[in-house]
Amino acid sequence: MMEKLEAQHVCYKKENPILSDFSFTFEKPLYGIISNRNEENSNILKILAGLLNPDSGSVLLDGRNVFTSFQKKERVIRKQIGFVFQSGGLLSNLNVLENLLVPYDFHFPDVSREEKLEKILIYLNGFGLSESILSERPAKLTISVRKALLFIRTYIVDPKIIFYDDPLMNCSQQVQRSIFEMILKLKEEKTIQIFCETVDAQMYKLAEEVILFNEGELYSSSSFSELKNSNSDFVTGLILRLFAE
Amino acid sequence: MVQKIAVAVGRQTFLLFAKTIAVFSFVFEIIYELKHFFHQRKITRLILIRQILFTGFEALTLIVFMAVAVGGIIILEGSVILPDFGRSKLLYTIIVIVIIRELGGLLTAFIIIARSGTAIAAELGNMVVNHEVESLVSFGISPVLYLVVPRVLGVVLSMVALNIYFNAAALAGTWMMANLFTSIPVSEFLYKLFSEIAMRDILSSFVKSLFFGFVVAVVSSYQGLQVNFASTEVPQRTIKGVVLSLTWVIIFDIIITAIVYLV
Repeated sequence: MMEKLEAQHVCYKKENPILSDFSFTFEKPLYGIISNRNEENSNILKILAGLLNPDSGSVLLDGRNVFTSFQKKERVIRKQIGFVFQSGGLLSNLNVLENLLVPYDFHFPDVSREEKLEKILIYLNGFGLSESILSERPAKLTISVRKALLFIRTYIVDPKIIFYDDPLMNCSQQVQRSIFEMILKLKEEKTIQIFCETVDAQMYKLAEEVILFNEGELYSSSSFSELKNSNSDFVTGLILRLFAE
Repeated sequence: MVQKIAVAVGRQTFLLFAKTIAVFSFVFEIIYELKHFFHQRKITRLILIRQILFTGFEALTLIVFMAVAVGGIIILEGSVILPDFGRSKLLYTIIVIVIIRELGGLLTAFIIIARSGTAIAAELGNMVVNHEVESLVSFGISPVLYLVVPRVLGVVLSMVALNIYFNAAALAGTWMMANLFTSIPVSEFLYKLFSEIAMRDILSSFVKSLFFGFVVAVVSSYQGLQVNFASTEVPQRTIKGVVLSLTWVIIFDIIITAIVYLV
């Protein structure tokens, strides 16, 4: 059975409103998020992923609140949520293998080291990366490889819902291709994926639903083709800006 | 005017109260996560081992050098000054009080603050800036469990071990100096020295090293995690960590010493 993520009357405000009374149910495999202020996309994703506490309202994954404490039963929820950060996020004092094993060992302590290594190598291969990087520290790798590792670290624990914050940013073409392939594969497998993207707006064409925010308020949610044919100046302006960038 | 002062005082009092609550919650969380530490040793063991290596092992040469020098200086000064007052016998009491009860713990703590306290605060601060802490949260791993608890355990264990090494090396320093520059027979020197050491001195030294290690690790970790998102905050928090660690180590030293004399 496919999971669903429900936002219920979520409000979050910094200098500007980021989410205002946002209610929505995510149950399709791929959603794109566009906000009239690009810099707020990350915050929206973090709120939905339970990394930022909203001022009010709640986000539920299969009826359970994602704003967790770290008690054992709550860890089950976090295991189901993956988040690929825009940049950074790899632990600089650990090598690549140790980095990939941190969430894996934490959520799957009983799986053998050989089995884990085998799965890691499959993903490394999928992203066109060599086994030799496993012993390297992140600082020695290119930004594109580091970004690919963020994806691998998220995928190896098989989350049920994945958030991508600017997934294509700083990626080489080869890594971008692998990301597209993985996202499409997971879409077929009905894993819920939510992204915001500023590098390649073509990605929004893959989304089943694109959610538009204006000043923190839900403006519309529809397919990309419907958005393109919209008569609204706001929507046309946003789409034009997105593709111009 | 009076109203403005009252408001300012009230605000500062409230801020101080809020900070105190935050620090106590942090300490409580460390204690709470200690029980999870052993269940999650697969991911935390590596951090603990590295902390012990850095704090306990790599500082050993410096500690031993400093201890031998301090021990030597005490015996040199004492054996010159005390006979003038006809109090040569006090030399052994002074060695025990100064080295085992006081300087052993304090100097070891100062070295740990300078090496490991600064390293912990700067490392954690940079981890916050690079979203490494945020990524741990995204996995459901408590930063306190993964980053702070192994560091606290590592620093406490290292502090206890280094304190023992310091005391042993300082006593060896006194013996070497006594051997070189004084006419006291070595066997007599050692006999008198060890007969001055009471269980209370050893216990006091042990308890101090436990508290000092805990205080340094907690204060440095707390300051490191207080960095928000700018790398310029890292040195500021590191310096604050050093100042607060020194202050709290001295406060705990006074308290424990007072308790030892009162009990």
